[in-house]
Amino acid sequence: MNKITRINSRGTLLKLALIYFSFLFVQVNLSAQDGEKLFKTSCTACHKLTSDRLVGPGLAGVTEKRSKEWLMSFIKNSQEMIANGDADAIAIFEEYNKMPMPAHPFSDEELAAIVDYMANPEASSAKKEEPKEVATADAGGEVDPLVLEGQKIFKNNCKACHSIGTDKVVGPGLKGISDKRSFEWIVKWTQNSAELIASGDPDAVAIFEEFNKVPMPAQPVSEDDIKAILAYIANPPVDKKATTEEVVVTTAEEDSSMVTFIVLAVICVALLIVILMLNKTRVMVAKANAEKEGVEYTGPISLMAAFKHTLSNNKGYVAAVVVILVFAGLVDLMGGAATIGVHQGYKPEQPIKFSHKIHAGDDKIDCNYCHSSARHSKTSGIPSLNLCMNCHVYINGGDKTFLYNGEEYPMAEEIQKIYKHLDYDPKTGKYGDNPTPVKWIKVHNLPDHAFFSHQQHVTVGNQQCQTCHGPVEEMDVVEQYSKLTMGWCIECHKTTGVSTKDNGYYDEMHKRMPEHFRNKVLEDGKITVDEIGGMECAKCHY
Amino acid sequence: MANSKKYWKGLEQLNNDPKFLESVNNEFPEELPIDKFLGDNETLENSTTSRRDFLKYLGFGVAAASLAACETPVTKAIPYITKPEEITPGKANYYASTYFDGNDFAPILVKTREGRPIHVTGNKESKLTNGAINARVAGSVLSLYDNNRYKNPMMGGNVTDWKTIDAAIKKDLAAAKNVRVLTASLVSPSTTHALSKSLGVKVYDENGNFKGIKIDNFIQLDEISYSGMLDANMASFGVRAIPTYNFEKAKTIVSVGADFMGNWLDTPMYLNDYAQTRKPDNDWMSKHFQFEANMSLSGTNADVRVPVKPSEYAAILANIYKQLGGSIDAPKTNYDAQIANAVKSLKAAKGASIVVAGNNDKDTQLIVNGINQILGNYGNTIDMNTVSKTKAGDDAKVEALIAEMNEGKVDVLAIYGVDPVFSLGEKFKAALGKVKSTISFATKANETSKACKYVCPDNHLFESWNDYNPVSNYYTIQQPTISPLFNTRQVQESCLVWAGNEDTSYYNFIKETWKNTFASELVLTPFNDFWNKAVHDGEVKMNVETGVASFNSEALAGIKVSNKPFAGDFELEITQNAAVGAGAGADNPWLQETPDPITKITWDNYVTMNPAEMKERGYNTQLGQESPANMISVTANGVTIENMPVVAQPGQARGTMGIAVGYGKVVGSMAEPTGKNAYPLVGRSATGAAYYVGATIAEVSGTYPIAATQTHQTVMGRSSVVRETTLATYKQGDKDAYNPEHKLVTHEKGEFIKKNIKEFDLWKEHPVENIGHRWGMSIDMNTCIGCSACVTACISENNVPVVGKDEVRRGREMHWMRIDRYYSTDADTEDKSIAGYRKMEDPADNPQVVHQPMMCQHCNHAGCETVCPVAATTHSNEGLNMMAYNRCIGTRYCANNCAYKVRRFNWFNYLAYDKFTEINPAQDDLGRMVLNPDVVVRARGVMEKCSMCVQRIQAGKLDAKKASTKVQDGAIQTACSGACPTNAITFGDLNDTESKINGDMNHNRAYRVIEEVGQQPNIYYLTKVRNLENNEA
Repeated sequence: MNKITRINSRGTLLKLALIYFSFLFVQVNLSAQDGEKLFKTSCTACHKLTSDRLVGPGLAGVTEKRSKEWLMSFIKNSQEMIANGDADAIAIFEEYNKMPMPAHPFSDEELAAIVDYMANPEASSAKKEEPKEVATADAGGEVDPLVLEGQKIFKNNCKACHSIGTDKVVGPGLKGISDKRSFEWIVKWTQNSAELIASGDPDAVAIFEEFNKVPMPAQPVSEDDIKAILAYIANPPVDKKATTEEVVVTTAEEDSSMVTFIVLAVICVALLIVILMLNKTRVMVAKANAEKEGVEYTGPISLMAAFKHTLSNNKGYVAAVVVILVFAGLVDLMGGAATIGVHQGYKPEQPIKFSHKIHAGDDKIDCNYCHSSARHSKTSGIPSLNLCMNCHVYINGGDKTFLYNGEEYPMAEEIQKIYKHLDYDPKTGKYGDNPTPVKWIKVHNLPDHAFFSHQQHVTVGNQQCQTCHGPVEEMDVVEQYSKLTMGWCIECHKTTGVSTKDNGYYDEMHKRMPEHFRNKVLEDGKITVDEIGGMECAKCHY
Repeated sequence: MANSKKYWKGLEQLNNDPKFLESVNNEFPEELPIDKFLGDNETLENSTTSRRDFLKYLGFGVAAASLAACETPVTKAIPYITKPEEITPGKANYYASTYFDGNDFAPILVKTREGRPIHVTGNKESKLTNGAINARVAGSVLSLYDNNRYKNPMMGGNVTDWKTIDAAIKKDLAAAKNVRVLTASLVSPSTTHALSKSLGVKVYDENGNFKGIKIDNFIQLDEISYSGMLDANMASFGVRAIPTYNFEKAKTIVSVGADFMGNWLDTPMYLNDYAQTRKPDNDWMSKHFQFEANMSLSGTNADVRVPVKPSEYAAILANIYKQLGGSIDAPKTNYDAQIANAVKSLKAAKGASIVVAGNNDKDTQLIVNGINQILGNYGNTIDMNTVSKTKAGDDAKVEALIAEMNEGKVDVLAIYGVDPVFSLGEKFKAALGKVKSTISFATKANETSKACKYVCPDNHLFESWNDYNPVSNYYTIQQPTISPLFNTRQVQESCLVWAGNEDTSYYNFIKETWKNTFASELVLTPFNDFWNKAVHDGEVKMNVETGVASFNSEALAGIKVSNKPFAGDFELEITQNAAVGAGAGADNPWLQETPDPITKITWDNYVTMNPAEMKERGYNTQLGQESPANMISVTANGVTIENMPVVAQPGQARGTMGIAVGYGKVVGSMAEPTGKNAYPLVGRSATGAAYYVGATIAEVSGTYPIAATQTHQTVMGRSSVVRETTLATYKQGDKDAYNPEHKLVTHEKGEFIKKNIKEFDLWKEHPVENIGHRWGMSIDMNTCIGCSACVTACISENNVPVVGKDEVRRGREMHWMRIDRYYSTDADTEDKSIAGYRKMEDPADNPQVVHQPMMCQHCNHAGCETVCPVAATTHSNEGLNMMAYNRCIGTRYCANNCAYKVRRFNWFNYLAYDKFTEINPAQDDLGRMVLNPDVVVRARGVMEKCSMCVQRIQAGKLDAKKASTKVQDGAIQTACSGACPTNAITFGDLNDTESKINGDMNHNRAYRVIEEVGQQPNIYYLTKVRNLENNEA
């Protein structure tokens, strides 16, 4: 008996300790910005921040209606509140046809962050967009000559190792450096970092240690130069003007092409008339000449005959032209052959009229919510039906309609198909035992011998889904947006920089790079996939 | 499946009907009316199809075909209805489980993809084996997807359903007075318990109350019997069990006929331990003596191998016993010097040595026990307290059972895990006919199940739950990795149903059993935690105090040892093939095609004989397509096996021959088996099965084609291929003496100087050294024992096709990895004449053997890359030699230019061509489920070769990137390095200065094969060191 009690108390102690430690880990200050993230991943499936109702009520002004504590406990476990007889909770429950809101096991900090975000959704987004606005304002105005000077010096002396953002290249990113360090310190460091380290300056030593004791070489720059560089780092000019101009030019070109066509056609017709007239003159002159000499003219008369005559007299040229034409034809044929098996724009009708526009576009459901394995696996994964039911157990479409491929369909009918496949009875809420899988039609087909990994591109490469799949959030019917040819892959691998920032793997690889190699690779300021061997056969074919 | 399979179109052909034979010679079945049709203008004009129409149809056909070809097929994608939480499509899951088939036991790790097991490797965390497996275990996954498995229960040869068969069996059991169960060794406590519920003997007290169940009627049968050894241990220690051996502590190992690395007892438990003692850089290296007749794996790895006849085994042991101080009458042998050497070494390592013998003979094993007792090995290297339970068969009880069956006393006989008609032969089959009711639990139709009334097919072991207790204090769990593919049921569940426990699943049953077994462990831990951890780890090891069992020396008294040769022309030693085993691999084409580690022969069993004796008899000693083997008939124990091919085995003791069992097994729908069944040659008696017998041979006319993958024998003195030295030389520390650098003589400034091979270079430098990754491998020739587990693992990982005997004979096997076996020669390697080289081809009479795994060497300056006209094989900046199959046009220049001959050409479309689907059931729709989806199946007409498992490298790099760390040393394993039971193969990043492989690369023993041609391979071999003095042979 005694023994067992002791063990039990030990167990409780252990549990308490565990709970305490887990709190230690969770206790991080979460801001409204994190609240935004949480809200978007967990709430947007059913709620909007406007007054529109989705599955649950719209949440505009909800923080004024209810207390923060009430909201937090409702999100955490609404059913418990209902069971405890909270009047407001019961009212909502009744209003929404006794459909309970699922419990969300967030920590208190997370709940607070979500509620804060709901109370003031603009605050966090405004905070984020602040620097952007400044940048555009600057771009619109005149650029300080000091900044331009700084840009020049930076490109010559610093860019090989530093970026003006926060990215680590060889050395740290320099964004906000003026706020962090005094001007005097920066001058000393830049002109001779080794001396500064030797003098025992704590900041200098810390940086030196952080970057694995790779010293920054002393730079032959004056104090004025450094001022200019700092000005450049603080306010880098943005080439916004140039882009707008470019767009204008293209439109102009498009307009002028029509005009050119008409002008060309007119010229052609005119030339044809001139040729006909010239031929007539030529025949008349030739006939006159023949008459003068007393012989009858036997040469070609019509334009066609004259053309044939010329051809037969210039066989060499004709042969040359034919050869050129044949080769041009072959090249064209090869171009055509290269499009075989390329199904860009493939847009098959699916067994269920699932609209990505509604889910990813209007409802803003994150791609990863349904295609979660894109982050963990080589395939992006087609969501299983039980995932659909996370929302569609509540959303049955009612009598709404939606647009699909330009035509209008009743929503309920398509959602019914899910129930049917699952053998689910929406009235009783029970699942039968005869479910059948949905046979979707695969849109993106890679050949067997090509290995493609979603996690490589999404998780490691930080690529957006849209980069390859196009604006899926605007497609009713998903279509193959990219060519998915090897040339297309390579094109991207040649130009895309690898996201090496803060990745221990690449840091290690970087260490194993000799200087000359590093300089060559970093010539353009980025490491492309190509430069780290991304175009070798066995990277994708095995 | 068989290559000698016979097909006939009808009975005429079978009976050689003369009319049929005549018609066979005509290409067309009857005369075609061509002349009539074309010669007669009228018919031609009257025919409705004009030439014009024909052209029209032809044109239309071509157009239609090309149009149809342009249309893209619609591919469907079918997701889960409800996705299992643990499965992410595209990601592999690994499950710890156990492999046990009655012969081999190994804790394993099963790799599954989308719920399909596709690869098996050893469980490296196992405290019992350290992850050691053998080829049989690595290849076992294929047998799961065999269409020849029983798909339904069968009653009287007809398909039935479970309800019917249950009712019938229940009725039979209720009426039966005498139930007998013939099983493989009972290693699983829960299985024994479950089986006993319906098949055990119920015991009642005098008042008729139920007291319990006894399993006296369970008879255990090991198809390879260790009965004699068990009986000897019973006499010496009072325990009928096999001890556990701690080879890692053994400084001297003497084996007399026991192939403990290939086929003796619990091989996987010994391999890793043995390898630890074979490292010359450690403080000590074990010394291994092997006395044997056949050349076995253990023999090839021994420091000293002495070819002796099986009839002399006992005498040799008796002499050792006597010289160690035992009192016994030891007859004189011809091996005094070698025995004295072994005894000297044993004496120097008292308490740290192991003596084992292969005899299944009580008296001989008693002498072995006496030797180990004198040496003080019990309690040190041999543990008689912690015993192995995987071999517990009792030959006397089996003989008694057969007698009982013959008398008609057995009402119900259930047979589980063994195929006694195959292994015990006709005698058992006849007795089986006299049993009223017979139940078989076979997974595939075999000779026993075909003779049984009821067949209740068991699940495949990858579909079942089970537990095992292979060693006293050690338990493992076998967990299912896939739902049953067919309408089969676990044998344990069948028995529970018959006992009336329909509602108990076997899974819950095991848990209940464990709750009782581990009651003492469960005081501190809740059962669920304990159970979940056990399932996750796959094993539980309990601490049991080891004591020294009391030794009864009186058992030794009065043993008479004789070395009288066996009667007959030859002494026959019956053995097992490393891949096929006791029969597990008989219907597994991966294993059939895995070459025997020593003879390098596939798809057959054969008689091995000393080449000198074969020459005396005028037999062909060569192997190869042009030189088929001679055939003989072998008679032993009054049984004759006709038409066995004879193969030369250098090192085979004179006057002896060897034959492997496990072949000749008819399984599933196989029309004819491969090889011949050698089990009937085994001497059967109540004192134990005898695997050493006297045999007579008779010559048979005709020849037999043999498919061997290596037809040359020795390395011809080329030290750049194999480097070997003695421990004495190695310890002297002069690298030039055993692993000299390659130098070339060059002329510079009017002088001849020798320059290191690295300074000569035809190629532009590939920038791989010290930049980024440089993948490479090191192979320690000291710990590589040649077991071929890596070869099978490679087949499984890389979707290597099976080509069959016929194509292997043409040298078209597709294995990406092979193990070259070289014999030493006693010819003078300095003799550079043609006759001298000829002599070098012949191995010595008792050659030393080297196993050298050989795969693509991933040369930094590869010959193959230079000659590829389409740049299909290129070099990666990570040091890999890459192969783009889609670019390859099949010129085979690369194979021609490869110094290592590791490139393979795809001659056929193996998946579609009938010839290969016949030999490999794994190429049908079901069998294709075993394919690794991360590796493409190569098409006809392209080259392929080892890719260093680039799919695993890429996956490993990706994991590192996701975890934001460098690639940790050991995190990436190739299939071969993962399967290697002795960790002889190390894979890693040569540029990682902290990695093990970087150390190996700079090791004094490291060399690269044919380095002098300057191809700079990324595979390093470590010179083999034998524990020999320089003057010792």
